[in-house]
Amino acid sequence: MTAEVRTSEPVLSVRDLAVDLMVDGRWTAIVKDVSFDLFPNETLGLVGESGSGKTVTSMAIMGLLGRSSVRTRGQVRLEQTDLLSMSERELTAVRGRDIAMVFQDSTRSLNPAFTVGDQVAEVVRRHMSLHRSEAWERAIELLELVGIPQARRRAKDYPHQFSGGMCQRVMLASAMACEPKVLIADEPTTALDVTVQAQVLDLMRELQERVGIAILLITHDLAVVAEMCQRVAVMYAGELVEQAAAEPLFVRPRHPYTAGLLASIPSPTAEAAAFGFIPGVVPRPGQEVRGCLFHDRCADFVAGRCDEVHPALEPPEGDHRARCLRSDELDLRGIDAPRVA
Amino acid sequence: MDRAVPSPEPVLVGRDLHKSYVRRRNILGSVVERTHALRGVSLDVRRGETHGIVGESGSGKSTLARLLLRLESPDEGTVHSEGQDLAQLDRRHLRRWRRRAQMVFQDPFASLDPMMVIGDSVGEAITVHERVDREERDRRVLDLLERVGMRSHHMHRFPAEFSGGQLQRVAIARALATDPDVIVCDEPVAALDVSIRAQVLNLLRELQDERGIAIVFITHDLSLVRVVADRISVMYSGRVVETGRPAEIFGSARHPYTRTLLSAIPVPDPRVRKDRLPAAAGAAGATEASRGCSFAPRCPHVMEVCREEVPPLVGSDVRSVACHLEGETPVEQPARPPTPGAA
Amino acid sequence: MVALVGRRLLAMVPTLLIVSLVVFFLLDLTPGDPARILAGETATPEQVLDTRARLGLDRPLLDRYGDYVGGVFTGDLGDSFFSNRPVLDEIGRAFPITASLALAALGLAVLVAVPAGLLAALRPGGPLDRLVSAVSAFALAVPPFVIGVLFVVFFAVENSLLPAVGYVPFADDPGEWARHLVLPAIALAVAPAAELARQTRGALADALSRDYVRAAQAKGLPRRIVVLKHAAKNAAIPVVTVLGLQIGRVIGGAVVVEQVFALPGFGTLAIQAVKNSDYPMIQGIVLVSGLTVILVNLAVDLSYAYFNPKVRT
Repeated sequence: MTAEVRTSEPVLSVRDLAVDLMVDGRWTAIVKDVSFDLFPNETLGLVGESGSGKTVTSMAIMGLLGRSSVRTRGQVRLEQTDLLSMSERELTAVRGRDIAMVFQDSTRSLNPAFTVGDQVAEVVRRHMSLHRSEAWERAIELLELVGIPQARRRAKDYPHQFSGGMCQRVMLASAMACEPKVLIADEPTTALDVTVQAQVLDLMRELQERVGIAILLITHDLAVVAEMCQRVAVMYAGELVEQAAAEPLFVRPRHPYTAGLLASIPSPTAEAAAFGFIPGVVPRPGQEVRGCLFHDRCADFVAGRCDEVHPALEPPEGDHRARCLRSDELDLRGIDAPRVA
Repeated sequence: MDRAVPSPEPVLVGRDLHKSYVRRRNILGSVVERTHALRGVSLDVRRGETHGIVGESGSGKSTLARLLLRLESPDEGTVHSEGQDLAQLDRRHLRRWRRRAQMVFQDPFASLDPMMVIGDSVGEAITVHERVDREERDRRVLDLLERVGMRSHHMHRFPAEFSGGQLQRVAIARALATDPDVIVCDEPVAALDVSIRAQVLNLLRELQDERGIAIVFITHDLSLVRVVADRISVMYSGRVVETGRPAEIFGSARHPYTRTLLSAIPVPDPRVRKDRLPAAAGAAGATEASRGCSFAPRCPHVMEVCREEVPPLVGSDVRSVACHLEGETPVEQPARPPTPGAA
Repeated sequence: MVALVGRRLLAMVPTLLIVSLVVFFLLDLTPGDPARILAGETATPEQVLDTRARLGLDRPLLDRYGDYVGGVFTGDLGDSFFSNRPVLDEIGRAFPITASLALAALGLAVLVAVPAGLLAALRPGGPLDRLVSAVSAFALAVPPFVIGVLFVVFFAVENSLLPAVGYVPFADDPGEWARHLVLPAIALAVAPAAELARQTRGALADALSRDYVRAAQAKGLPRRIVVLKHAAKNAAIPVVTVLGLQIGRVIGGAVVVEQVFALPGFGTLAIQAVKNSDYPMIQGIVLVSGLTVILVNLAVDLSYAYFNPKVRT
């Protein structure tokens, strides 16, 4: 999958984002130093497992974390405006119009007490000055766009009358209502059956082609990343540990955690029935770790270096960056390497 | 890869199982609509073997698990455990039988009582089924915990203090406590991080090799079942549509649903551009006892007979297919364009 | 929907039958003989027997019950042993007073409690939340008659701001009607208000923690709409449920409050009837109370269909 031709200006630019949450009376760093750019008509995959901070990152970008017990630092620029410096009132004008988000469990993200049509139309009414009936018409158009059959009739139905895949389509309809520049999709297909997942991913690609939106796709599923993303950023324990275009990341990873994740995928050409795992557990938020946050689980750990120095993302500018002191020395296995039990 | 050939004698045999649930009643209370979760499923599990059951939501796989473990009774059909019909067992003997068949659930945070220390959770079955004193029970619990890779001091901690992967291993220890012949695992790693799934699965494999336990492995994740199972049954809308060994299912799938499923799996390689088999996706749950093959509305190769008769499952117990196309040359292109998706 | 209402109305009949039967039996078992009371302290045994025959109390219990039920279906609840007037008339006179009081009390409770609960839920753990919790706990602990008496002392006796006793029908003078009801309504409203505030706070805090609220925020909807449209409709069900349950509490509380403020309502009637062993009156009061509670709860259940679409199918 070749990278699409991209304009040089990112539509979303995150710099040095850090988020602290108040946990048990203490400020705890959940996201530390995340930076990335998102370009129009492109999908960036944000990959991580539990404890990686990927969801908090996306919520921080949208400003959905609330104001109490949250401290956010850094810059989140949507074209020219810094979202982090905006007031809640200003943000409500931007959300849903310039930047939209869909969540993991779509059946729970729709209000059970209102019709599906109403929930799509309200976005339209909020951001464009349309009458009720015009907004309703637009809502039906949007539902048709995302492939809901008999949209006019179904718009009057309630969420509990839709399946998981259909609910996710409805969410995409309300997200796309104002043709935003950025779509954040937090695990959009994790709760769906694999055949439904395939259709929803196809739909997202179609919508991207039509409107040219940039998509930040948050997931733990590397296969979905391979299918959808031109570029990938991997998070671990609140930090970005690797960032690259999709192919180099999968074939020649430069961080041991990425290599470990790739080795955890059951091989599609399995003769060997083995696949790997990463021993140990992610550091808890607030846990003090000396040196690299991954060192206690790393197969390529070197005492005296990895547990002393906290690595920065190297090279500072570049297409393929990794937060590892040894990334230049190591020859890490990607998906082409033969599997060993 | 072939592992040690499992013993041919089935530990658990389900025959022609049917199960439906009431969906709606009318004013007078009579049933107006039923959900048919299982519509004639037969399955067997052998000692030392892992039988993978693959299906999406509405396929009936979780219902099947409950019937196999006799957590519910089938509307029709039988479940035999080593020749003994479970329906014939009285309460006392059924209770005793429960030691032989155990379950591991999807979410360890939900399946382990958050108010019980894990030592008690693991040892509860021992206490209930056997008359052993506290010391003996604790000793056995310790053994089990160590076998699954936990430490002795974990015994007195609560589930909230552990990670998902650790807890699932505790759940496995709990399942082992009564020395069962068969363990039914319902999506045992779906709720776990990808980087630790292999740890739990390797553990299951080792225990199987050591003790000859039969494992029923229920999942929606085809990539996973391929490396885990010795035999696979693919379920759709309450019926088994295809069975076979992993290499057969993945290399030469015969049922159109299986092929649809396989083509939907994303490939973890950005260089590969997947061509998908078109098929109108729809919810697989059946509300009426519809005639004919339940996949007919979505099948690209559908024929007249498919809407009239349910295709029988034809073949041996290691390789079978339920499709009217069997006997005809498999067609690669879709026979007609798919109707718009209704996912 | 019609089927639901029909079914519930039908179900009402056996419930009321059972209630009245139980009361009938209980009354028979309780000490106190209406015949003796009516005949007077100086009556001779023959006079008592005569009175008993006149009241119909010498007939078998089940016969009396059968007659009673027959009478109910034709709208005849019997005559009061005490006043000889039809029970239905007496109740008809007293009930509107209590109904005004109850509605006023509940209305006040809702007006105060729902906004308080809402504001408390918006900042859980914040100062308003803690204040509301504390005040509610206190309010629930203090009985209505204590509050009532305190009010009478402060507002009526010490300061002559509001009348202490009596009732003025709405038809005669709406202003005076309101003035006479203010203190008793507030006294009666305190406990339900506390309960409602707690429920509102809990239900709304729960609704605000849901995924659909987060999704609504992500759409850029202003806070006002997120809370008052999305969260509120879902929070309504537990609140409305509690409101329905409060009816029973308010009717019970009315009995005492009417005593304190000398309102000739349903509660006063009930106390009198029990003191006089006025069996038909007691039966009638129980029946009407039961009917009220059932109808109110039916209304609550029907409202669920509006708030929760899943119920409609």
